[in-house]
Amino acid sequence: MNDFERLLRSQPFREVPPEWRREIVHRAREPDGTRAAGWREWLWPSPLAWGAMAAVWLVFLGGELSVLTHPRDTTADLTGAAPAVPEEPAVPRAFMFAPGQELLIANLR
Amino acid sequence: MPCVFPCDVTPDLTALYDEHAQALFAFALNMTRSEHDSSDVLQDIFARFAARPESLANMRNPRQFLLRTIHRAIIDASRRTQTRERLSDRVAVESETVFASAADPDVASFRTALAAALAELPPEQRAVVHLKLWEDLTFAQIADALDIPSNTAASRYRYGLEKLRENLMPIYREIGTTNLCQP
Repeated sequence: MNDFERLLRSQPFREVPPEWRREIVHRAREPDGTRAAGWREWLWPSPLAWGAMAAVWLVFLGGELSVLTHPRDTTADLTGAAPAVPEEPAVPRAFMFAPGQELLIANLR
Repeated sequence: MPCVFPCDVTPDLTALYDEHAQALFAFALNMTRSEHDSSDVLQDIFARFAARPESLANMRNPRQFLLRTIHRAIIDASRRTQTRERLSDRVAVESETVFASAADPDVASFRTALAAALAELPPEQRAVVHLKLWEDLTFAQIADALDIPSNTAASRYRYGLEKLRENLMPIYREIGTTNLCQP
């Protein structure tokens, strides 16, 4: 090591701010802090991509719910006839499996 | 070499902080040039150690292990910052004072010039120069900490030091070395 290197080495860096000690060690032990860090780590390296994917899924879910809530009578659409009104199911329509298909089968019979 | 801590015992975070925080802070500050980012990376690695204490159990050289960990955290943070800056079109780069203040004006101006010269180095050269000069690591240890071959570490150090010498030579000649070697 020459004089120049020794000269550089002798220049001290700033001291770490003393208040950090408590903050960093204390926060590191907080469960919320670790959970948040875990999430950040999981979402990294593409938080935008994850956000975009979540938005697309929400759009799909919204579309699916609207179809379930307001099913279309496809037979009535084709023939121009008034749509058959099925009996009110015991289970709310929004929770029934494929109500559109059920209506189509009822019309075919 | 045996484990520094017994393998089934987790080292105390406070003791770890007390022993190594200054070195980690200096490295982070020299690399990020931001006290805020340095605080974030320190916070980040200590949160990780708290969440996964087993990651500390088998470390043989704590300082080297911590420098390696913080270097990775700095790289991750710089990628996030670059993304944020791209998104917000932020151009200004925060730059902090990295060296201790000095009462002697000659020493103060040399430290300012040294900080500026270090900032002009590419980050990969700055990291090697920092670990060699201020952490006294061997090229093999630097290579391990930065995930690069030893020869690359040695050549980056040579290039980095040469650039520092070129940039600092005017002030070095003007002031002389006698006054500069003071704490």
